[in-house]
Amino acid sequence: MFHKDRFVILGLCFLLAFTVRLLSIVRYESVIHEFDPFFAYRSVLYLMERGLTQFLEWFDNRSWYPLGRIIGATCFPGLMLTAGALHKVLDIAGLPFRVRSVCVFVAPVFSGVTSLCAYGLGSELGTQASGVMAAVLVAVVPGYIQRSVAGSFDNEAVAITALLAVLLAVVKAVKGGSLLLTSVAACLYFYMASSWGAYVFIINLVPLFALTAMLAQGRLRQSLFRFYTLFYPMGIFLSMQIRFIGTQPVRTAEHMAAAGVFVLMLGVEAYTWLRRHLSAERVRYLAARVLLFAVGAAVCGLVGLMLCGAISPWTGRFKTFLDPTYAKKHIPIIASISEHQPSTWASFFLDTHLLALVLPAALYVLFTTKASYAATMLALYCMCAVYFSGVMIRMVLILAPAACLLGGLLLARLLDRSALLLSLSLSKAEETKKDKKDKRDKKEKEGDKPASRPHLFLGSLVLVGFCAFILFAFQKHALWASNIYSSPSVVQIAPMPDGGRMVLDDYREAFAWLEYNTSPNAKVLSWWDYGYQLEQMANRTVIVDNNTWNTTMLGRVGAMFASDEETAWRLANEYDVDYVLVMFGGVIGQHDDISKFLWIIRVAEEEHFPDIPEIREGDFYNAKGDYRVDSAGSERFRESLMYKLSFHEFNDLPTGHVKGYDRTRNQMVTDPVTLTRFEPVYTSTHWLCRLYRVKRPENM
Amino acid sequence: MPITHLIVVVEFIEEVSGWGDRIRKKIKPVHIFALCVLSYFLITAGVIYNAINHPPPRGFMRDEVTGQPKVITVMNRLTAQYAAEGWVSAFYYILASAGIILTLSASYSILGEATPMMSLKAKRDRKGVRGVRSLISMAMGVIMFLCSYAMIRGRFREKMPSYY
Repeated sequence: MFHKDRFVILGLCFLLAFTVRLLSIVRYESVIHEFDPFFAYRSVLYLMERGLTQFLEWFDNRSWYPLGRIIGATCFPGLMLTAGALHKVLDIAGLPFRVRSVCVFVAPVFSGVTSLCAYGLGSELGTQASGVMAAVLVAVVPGYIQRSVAGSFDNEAVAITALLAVLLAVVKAVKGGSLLLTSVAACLYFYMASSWGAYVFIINLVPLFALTAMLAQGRLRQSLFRFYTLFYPMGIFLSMQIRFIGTQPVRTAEHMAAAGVFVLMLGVEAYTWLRRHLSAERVRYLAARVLLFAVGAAVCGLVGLMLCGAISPWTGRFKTFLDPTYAKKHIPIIASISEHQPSTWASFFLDTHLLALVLPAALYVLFTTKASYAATMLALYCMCAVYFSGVMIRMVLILAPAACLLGGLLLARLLDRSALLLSLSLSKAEETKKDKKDKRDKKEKEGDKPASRPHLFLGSLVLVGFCAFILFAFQKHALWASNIYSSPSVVQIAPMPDGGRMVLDDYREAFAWLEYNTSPNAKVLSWWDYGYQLEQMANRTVIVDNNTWNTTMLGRVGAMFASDEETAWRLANEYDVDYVLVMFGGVIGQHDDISKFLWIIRVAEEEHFPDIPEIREGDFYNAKGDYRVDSAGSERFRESLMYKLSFHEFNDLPTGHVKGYDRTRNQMVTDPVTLTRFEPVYTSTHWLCRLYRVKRPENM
Repeated sequence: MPITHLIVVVEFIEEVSGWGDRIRKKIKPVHIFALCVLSYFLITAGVIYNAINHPPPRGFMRDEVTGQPKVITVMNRLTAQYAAEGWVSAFYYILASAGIILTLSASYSILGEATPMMSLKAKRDRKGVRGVRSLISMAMGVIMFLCSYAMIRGRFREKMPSYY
């Protein structure tokens, strides 16, 4: 059924997806959010300045100070290249936007494209109606808004579009058996591999889908075979063009499932083909020979490769998906990131609202309609996404589009039913004598009153009203969620009791101070969270940043913050540190470095440095086992550099009626803090950022 | 080892794939559906969170007069839960879906169509009894969903007071 109205609806979906993400710009100004987007923004600036070749070979000597970082080989360039290309195209078209504006708006534009891809997938799944419903849901679902709001210039902004596009291309290619669509799918997979680390999800989902299709149908169909034997080599080859991925597709365990399914498919196809041409006896004889070779070669080869270390096992980040307790026991850096925590029941409701409530019902609809490739793909995608989002809160982002597609299918089905019911109740058909006789017979047998037309009408109204109600509730929730997710954490806006608002722009204030008042080659030390922002906004060299690739340096920086002043000063001079930045939220009551301090200690504790006095987490709790910042806190804690830098001159600060009241921990700091080796140079307006200079030995 | 011995291996593989084929025919969609619903229930209950962080089943503080535990939900924090709180909320999710499934099944009956193959209704009702009973089932399904939705919203507001 071809409806022209769908173009209007899809255009409106695009517009909706675009505008619902603009709240942060409307509220304050167009600014890049959070932490990681600042790295991407800085990379785009570098790309526009120096060109593509220089960008892909970029060695950055302004981060990880003594070592530097090979950014060209350790980043996913897709996002930066997309933004750069967009900027170039707009420039040529006569619309010279600033690079920052292009970066800020990339996410809303791509989310509009995502809802169009969702329409495509939804209409493969059911009718065009379910496609349209899916498009509307994807445009506003909070789980997706959270990572693609205007200003959130992060990998996921373009990667989710690529994800849905790859799945759409795969489903269409397998259905039709067309090689052109398969190559399109492989190219889209290349785009996804270039933008986000979760391309591993696709390269495991597609083989799983192929395997399930094979098992469900009992044999290997030609279209599936043609699809997979082109998709796998082409996709792998293309993804290896990205330096960060390199030879991982043939080395690591994460890609071995795809390789295994490839080999299996070739084997099955060869066997089937042979059976058609030879008799059963001869085939068995041939198969026995091949088996001898294959098993022998496989065993020797695998053992040899593993002994040489050529095939590496699952890396830490992905091992968390297989064994969720792994990160907590072995890798505190990964375990400390708040996005990597396992999710609670509330995260599902917040991020997908009614879709989480109807997901099993949507699966019921899926299982009761005729099986198709799209249905299998979506069921697998959904169940994998549910599992992964249970392991990490951040992965609810992957669940959101799957839930929307299934929810769209269900809502389309419900509305379909209610429309049928309504038309039945309003139909002018006369009841024939035969119907009346049937009804009387049935009544005698079952004792159930047949439903009359007013009843049917009421029933259909109830159903339509119900659908309208849940859609309204979803829309309201989505707008509310878009409001709370639109906060650029760089600038904080708090509502005042008199209705006005207070803007906390401390971070940018401190970074601007650094940029204008320090030498261009100054080295700044802070905990790794603030590295990317320091590099981009303050334009200074940093010691550790958000990439967290070198755990030894992170451990040393952690040890610096956890040790007493003399040791910390010695370590700081080792790294040529000029300034130290500390975040302190005690004046306004915010989560700050002291709240994170236990994780810093754990990271430092993992590395045992022989030249630093030992750091034990237990020393930082007082005798009763509490973590306190006032005079009841442990001695070791109050001697540490982090405490001293945070609370320097804080006991004299009037906060309300008293002095030195820490609003974050609700404790009062009374003892003065003395610093001998560090000199305070700047504290921002609300004491959020505190900067200290490291005194050189000559000045002592 | 002579080649003839390995033919036994190949025959064995063929026989095993024959069994596999029979098992494949025995697995019905409703089994897979039950597996999916069970795993959905476990994940949304926060089983993984419980396994990693070992939260207690409910709060420690007890009411002074009655001795009953005061808190069963971790207040004001979205990223933490007690174990029992997770199980109860997952039950509400499943209840809501069950309501929708009931509504859909009932709508097939009302319209006089055969319910689809994976129906959970009795065989005698399959052929479509256009009766008031089906209408009531439909309404019950809607009410089940709405009640679960209201309960979830209430519990959610405990965790996030700024919810509208």
